[in-house]
Amino acid sequence: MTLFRLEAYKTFSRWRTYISFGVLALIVLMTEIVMRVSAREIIGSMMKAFQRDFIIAGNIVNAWFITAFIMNSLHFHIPFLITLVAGDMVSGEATAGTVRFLLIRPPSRQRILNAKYLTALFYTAGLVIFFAVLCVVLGLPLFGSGDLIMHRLGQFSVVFIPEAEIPFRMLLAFAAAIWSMTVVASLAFLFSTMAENSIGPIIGTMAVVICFLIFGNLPLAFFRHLKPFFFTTHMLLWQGFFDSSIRWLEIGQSALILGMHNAGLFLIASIVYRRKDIKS
Amino acid sequence: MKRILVLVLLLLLMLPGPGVLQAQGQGEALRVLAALEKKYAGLKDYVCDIQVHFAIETFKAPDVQARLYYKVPDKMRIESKRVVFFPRNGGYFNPAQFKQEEYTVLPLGYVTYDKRKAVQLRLIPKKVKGAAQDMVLTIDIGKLLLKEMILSQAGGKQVKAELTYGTFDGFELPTFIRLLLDLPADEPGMAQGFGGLPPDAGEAKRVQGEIAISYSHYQVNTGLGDELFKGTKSPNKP
Amino acid sequence: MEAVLKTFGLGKRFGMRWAARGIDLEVHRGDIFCFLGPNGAGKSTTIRMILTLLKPTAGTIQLFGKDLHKNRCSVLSRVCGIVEKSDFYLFLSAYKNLEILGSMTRRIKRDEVMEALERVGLIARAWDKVRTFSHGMKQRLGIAQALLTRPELIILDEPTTGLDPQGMKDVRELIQRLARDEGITIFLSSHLLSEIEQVATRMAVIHRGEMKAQGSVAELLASEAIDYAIQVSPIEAALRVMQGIPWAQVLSCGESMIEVRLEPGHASELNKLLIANGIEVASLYPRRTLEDFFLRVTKGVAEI
Repeated sequence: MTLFRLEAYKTFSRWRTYISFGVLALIVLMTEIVMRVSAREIIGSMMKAFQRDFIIAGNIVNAWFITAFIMNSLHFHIPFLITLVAGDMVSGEATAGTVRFLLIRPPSRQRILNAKYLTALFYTAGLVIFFAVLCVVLGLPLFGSGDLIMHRLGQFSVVFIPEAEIPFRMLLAFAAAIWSMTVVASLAFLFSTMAENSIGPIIGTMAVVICFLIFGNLPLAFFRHLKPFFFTTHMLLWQGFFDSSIRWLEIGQSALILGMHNAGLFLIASIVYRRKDIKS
Repeated sequence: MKRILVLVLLLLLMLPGPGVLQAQGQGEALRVLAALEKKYAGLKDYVCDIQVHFAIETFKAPDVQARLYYKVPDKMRIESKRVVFFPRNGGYFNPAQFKQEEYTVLPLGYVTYDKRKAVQLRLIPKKVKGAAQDMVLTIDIGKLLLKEMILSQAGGKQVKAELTYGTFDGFELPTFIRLLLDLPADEPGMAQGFGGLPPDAGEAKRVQGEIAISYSHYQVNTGLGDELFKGTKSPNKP
Repeated sequence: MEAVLKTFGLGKRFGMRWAARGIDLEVHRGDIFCFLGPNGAGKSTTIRMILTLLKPTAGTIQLFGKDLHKNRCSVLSRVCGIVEKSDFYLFLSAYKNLEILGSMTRRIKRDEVMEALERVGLIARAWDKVRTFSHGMKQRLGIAQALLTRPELIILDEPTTGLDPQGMKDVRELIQRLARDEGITIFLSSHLLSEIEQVATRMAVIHRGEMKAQGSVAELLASEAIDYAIQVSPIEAALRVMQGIPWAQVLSCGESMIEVRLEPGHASELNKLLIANGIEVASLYPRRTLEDFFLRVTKGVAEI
């Protein structure tokens, strides 16, 4: 625990760590302000399919709706913010030269790596939790509370989540979101063990995430067969908590697959780094 | 023999032709509609409590309570603490909507509905407004009650409304409307893309289901002001 | 004498090239052991293997009589090292850097950190961010972090690199003080002969990845022929005397100075011989013997 505490202290002592939090705050703030101003327009465009057949009354654009709306973009901006720190976790020591002090200490490389990895995961969780709290804390005064309406874009399909159930489902959804983002952190961490500076891990991780996202959404039979194997496919497991009845089995399967990704990536990182010659 | 043939010819000449028969049927239809309109001429407004129950596979909504305000000719407002998706067409009773000048009325014939004689009329809007295309009304001739309404909308949508009535302050108003929906699952022209929920495996191409609306605690002709409906668009305008 | 560091056939290969091979070192407790070699000889490679920054391709390492890789935690807690320059977390203060690095070895108290900073003259800058430190200050901070964990062995790789003459002097004096007063064994690498001459008690020479010599400085130098500069008069007479001596080789001759190479132990004999022949000896002093030794060793002339 001491090593983890030291690594966490180092990470959160850098102002660069807070760039991500600042960017998230800006995204959430700007999105919520714009949506507050354009609520009617939003309902018009998002509920177009229903407004022809239904009169919609009540507070649709509430804090929960806004939060779920912003969460849909979670897998675009949060991975990049995670890689800024996770990708620098190990390679940053090489860049700074501090690796020469760090690795000659009594704790083994594996223990040091464990501490750094846990710190990367802790940071990831912290970022998503911050995002969640911000969405809700800003959203409730701006938009109020109410039932959550989830719909499938372009389809006649709506799910009502009663207000009483929302906090619990949101909690689970964000826990799932944290779990999905840990894979990005693990990938960035792996690349960080291979590199001597953080640029490579950041770019490499984002390239993998973007490519998998694109491949997973291409409407071609070849990619459809590969889609279940992309971790980005399972990163949306949190959406299962916003269905009429929670799809526990599917969520569990996705969580397991993501967990296996985490384990595999960390195992590779451990093997790589334990064998690595420190020449810098 | 010749005398018989002449008599038959005279009889045939006396019978009304297809155009005459049609004219007579349309006349009957218009008379029924006018009678229906006259029956509710004194109805200026009403307020009632409604409970909406959805039984549609892709529309997972709980039962919702709301308050419905109506004022002639077409003002409607829904108030609810929770989000309500209230069917625009067929969801509430608006006797003033069947203005003869707005529709071409075609008689479809007489039927038996709930063991009573009823007439079926087809109303085709002279001007297309909202999503409604045409309607088929089944009207109980004896009680002058609209028992069933089938709306066909653009895009292959069909909504069938079955009405059950009660008497409130001298007016027969619905206590229960059962809407049967048959809609396409995909909205034509809508882009499929990122966002919202992921598609289910094996989704139906058409959406079929039922919406049951119960009406109670009617308050009729309470003198609702127009300001109550300000900010709400006409029910026919999405 | 207890050996605190021993290597047996230590070697490292990068691809097809051996950067170090067959390194058999033995460092005794209390030594100031200098690892001497030109640039690229394999000094840093050897030190990095000892400090577990590089995985040896061949050989083993023992610290305090225990195998390093099997007893990493227990042996490395008694060792501290500075490889090349001292790099710290620039965004943290001097105090915080020492606290973090020291805590990885053992529980560190605030007083201990402040004391370490005091010893290297950085107490006034304890709370300043390291990014504001000069190179010399960072080197001193590096020594402070080395002292903080109370090691028995300090390994330094070219510790005076980049320092000004005063800085070099300070480091040298600190090394001597640590060895003399606190009994800490020092293992340092360098290519600066003047530095080694002034501090080393034992040394090893490495060249092209291979050990060329190892032993105490005095023994190594005593076994070698030594060059002397002799101020004599009359110079011709002195030359005549020295030409007949088998253990003396005249290297050069000036107006009043002769440079002569003598086999070990013959300096006083030459002095007596010259005086006995009526030649005035104004001075007799040895040249830079370690430099000569080093050059000869690295060119393969001497064999120990």
